[in-house]
Amino acid sequence: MILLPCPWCGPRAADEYAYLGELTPRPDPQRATRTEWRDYLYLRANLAGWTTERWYHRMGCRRYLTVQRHTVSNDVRSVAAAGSGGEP
Amino acid sequence: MTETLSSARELSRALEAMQRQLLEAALRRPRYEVLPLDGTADAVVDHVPREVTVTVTASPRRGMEPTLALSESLARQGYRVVPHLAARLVIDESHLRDMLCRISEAGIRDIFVIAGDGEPAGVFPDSLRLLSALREGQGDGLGQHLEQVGVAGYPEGHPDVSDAQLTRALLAKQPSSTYLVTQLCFSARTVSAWVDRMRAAGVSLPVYPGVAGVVDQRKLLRVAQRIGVGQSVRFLRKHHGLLRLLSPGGYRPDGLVRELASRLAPSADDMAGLHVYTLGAVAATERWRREALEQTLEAVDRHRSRRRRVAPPSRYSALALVRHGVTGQAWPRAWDRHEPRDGYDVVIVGGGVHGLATAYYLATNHGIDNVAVLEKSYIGSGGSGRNTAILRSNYLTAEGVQFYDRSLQLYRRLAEELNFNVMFSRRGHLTLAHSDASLRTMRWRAEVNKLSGVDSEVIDADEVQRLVPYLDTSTAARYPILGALYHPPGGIIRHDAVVWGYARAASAFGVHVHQDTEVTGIDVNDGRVRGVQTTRGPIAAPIVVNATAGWSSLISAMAGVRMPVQTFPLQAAVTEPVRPFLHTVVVSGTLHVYMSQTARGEIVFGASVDPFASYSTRGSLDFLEGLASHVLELMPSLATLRVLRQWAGLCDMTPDFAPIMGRTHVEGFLVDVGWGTYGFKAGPVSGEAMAECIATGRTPELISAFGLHRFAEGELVGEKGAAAVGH
Ligand SMILES: Cc1cc2nc3c(=O)[nH]c(=O)nc-3n(C[C@H](O)[C@H](O)[C@H](O)COP(=O)(O)OP(=O)(O)OC[C@H]3O[C@@H](n4cnc5c(N)ncnc54)[C@H](O)[C@@H]3O)c2cc1C
Ligand SMILES: [Zn+2]
Repeated sequence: MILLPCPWCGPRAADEYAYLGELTPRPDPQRATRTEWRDYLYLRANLAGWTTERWYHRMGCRRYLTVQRHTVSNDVRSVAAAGSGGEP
Repeated sequence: MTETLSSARELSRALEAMQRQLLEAALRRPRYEVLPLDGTADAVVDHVPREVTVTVTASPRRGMEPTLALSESLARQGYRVVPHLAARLVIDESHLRDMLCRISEAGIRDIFVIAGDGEPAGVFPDSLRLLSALREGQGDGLGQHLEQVGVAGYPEGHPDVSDAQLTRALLAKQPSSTYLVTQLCFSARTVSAWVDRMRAAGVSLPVYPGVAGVVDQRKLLRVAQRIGVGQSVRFLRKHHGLLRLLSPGGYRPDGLVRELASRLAPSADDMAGLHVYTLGAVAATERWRREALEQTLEAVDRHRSRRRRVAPPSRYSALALVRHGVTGQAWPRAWDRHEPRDGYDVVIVGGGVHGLATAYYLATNHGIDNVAVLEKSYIGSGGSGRNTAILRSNYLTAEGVQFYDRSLQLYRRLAEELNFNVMFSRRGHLTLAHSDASLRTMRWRAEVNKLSGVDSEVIDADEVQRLVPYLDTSTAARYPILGALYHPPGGIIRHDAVVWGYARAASAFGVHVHQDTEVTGIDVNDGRVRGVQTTRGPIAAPIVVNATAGWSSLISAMAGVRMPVQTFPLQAAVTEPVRPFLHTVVVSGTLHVYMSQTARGEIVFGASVDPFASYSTRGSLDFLEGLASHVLELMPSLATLRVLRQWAGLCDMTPDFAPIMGRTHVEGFLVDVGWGTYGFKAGPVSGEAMAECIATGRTPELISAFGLHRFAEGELVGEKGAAAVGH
């Protein structure tokens, strides 16, 4: 298992968090066609390499985080509060 | 010289296989055209099975009402119905709108548009005008539920319209229609020449050749004369003799249908299915169809067993074992090594059970053996060599149950078929219920299973105790066992042996299995796949199949195809061997654990996927701790057993826990992925279905629910309830 350094709680085991998946830009729900919306819901790049993803520290500070992780080595490059930039 | 000869032979074999497939499909699910008369509904319900589509003609004298009424009644009875809409019987657009509303409310999604005879009753003198109205009305929802719109084709011309005019009309109708049904015809040569002419003129609609059912000859002649198919009646007369034509036995379309299949086989769209004009003789036509289908199936089986006889030489006999034991002589290679060719007819990426089975069935069922399987590491290095090898078919949806049941049937016969001991072992499969809610889903699952003829029942805790004596069934347990879903046909198999057996047999039939050959790129141009780039150089191929499970997003991305897949590791562990004590496979969804005892005596454990997506196959201590605590909840006496190994494999998870199979928007690029934590059991049936899909160019019914397009269309398959615990 891996350690994720939470900006508020420090390094914690990954199973304290909920993994919410890679970040994909959300289309405007008012304007998106059904196909665009379903693409957003279902399609994933699922890269083997550095990805930007959303985690939730459910057993700690209960905040949403933006994490950059390498999906082959599981190295973590950065963890920041969600919405603080660096998101696609 | 020999090379051209053998490739000509290959070609003709492939063609033969396609013809048989085409014939079988056409006879299995034809369209029956019936007249809207009193008694037709009863005749259909009494004789015609639901897999036959029923099309209902429109009577110029009685108007559209009888057609609509009969269509509605048959749709209620569960038939797929196609009402004929005669343009000249439609008064105006609001009449059209009313009819389409009724059609859509009846759940009908397919109409057949014709001009109709006599004077126009309203504003539509011909079918083109009606089709245009449909197209223009689309914006405000006219006919929005329709998925198919058929139009008529005239291989023998039309008594009142010139051929050139007919072709122009078809081209004009093409944008607003989706398929063509030909007028009654008796000569396959005429039909195929006409199809060629139409294709040359730019008509690309799929064609349903129309043939007469089993009908009284006099009636047939009358009809033929009226609709002006004189040429082929002359043909019929010449070949059957006037006497036989008029004999009381009646006309049978056997020969015609066979010849149509053989002439139209090379392109799937040239014979998308069969349209049978029953001309009032529904029962006789249905009797004929059953006989003809049976004969075709027998021919297919004969063909298969003929091919099977040249199956892999039986190197692994008892005698050979003794000989090799005594002499110490090395065994021959099980599958051959080759240099890659410049190109293949089919390239399959991924040497797991799915890729290898697809190659094997391509070669054996379809005679397509210019096939390569490309594997970046060794075969079975992916999920196929890492899974816990549990087989079962007790799924939750009817599609799922039928699909996995077919796979289990193939697995049961696999050792014999491949002459390789795959160690299939029927054990019975128990899914424990720890709550009323799970008991409820299990009852539901049991009913769905039974409806498809799959053995499943809900049993109580005492019965569970009897089957698995070491389980803690006391009410003091943290999660007391209330009962279980018992599925006697479930079992386990030796996963490596399955992979090796398929590889060996496929290789014996001419398939190239290239290990240490990684695909690094896919060449696509003009929306068509052209070949692949590999670490051993480029390989051309008109068909490329992605069977790379956990890596499938990466391969699809090379072809420009996006997928709803996320890769999660799944871990498993195995203990030291002990004496046999656990016969059944035991699963607990609540405790996220399942276990079985192998023939060697080890206990194999599995659980749910890791909590986050990753391509890493490192095991973790968290997993082992969690697993151990859950296992001990179920079976406290295992506390003294030691774990020997743990490992992880990659699982390609989809949003609806169902696979993704078949074609993609890139022509020639097919996928067989999304196998998640449960795809080993599906190896044989997927191989068979993918091979059929490739050989015929058509998606087999069995996998039609699993297409990639379902995500864009919002038609997900609801399999989560039965597949969410990995295995
Ligand atoms: C621990 C575990 C337990 C499981 N338990 C069960 C079970 O009990 N029952 C069950 O039915 N299923 C089970 N599964 C799921 C099952 O193992 C898989 O669904 C199945 O094996 C998938 O087979 P496949 O042939 O599609 O893919 P794989 O066997 O994964 O084969 C894919 C192959 O593609 C190759 N490849 C990848 N990229 C490339 C490339 N670029 N070029 C060339 N080759 C490439 C890989 O090396 C790999 O060999 C389990 C899985 C795991 C991990
Ligand atoms: Zn925190």
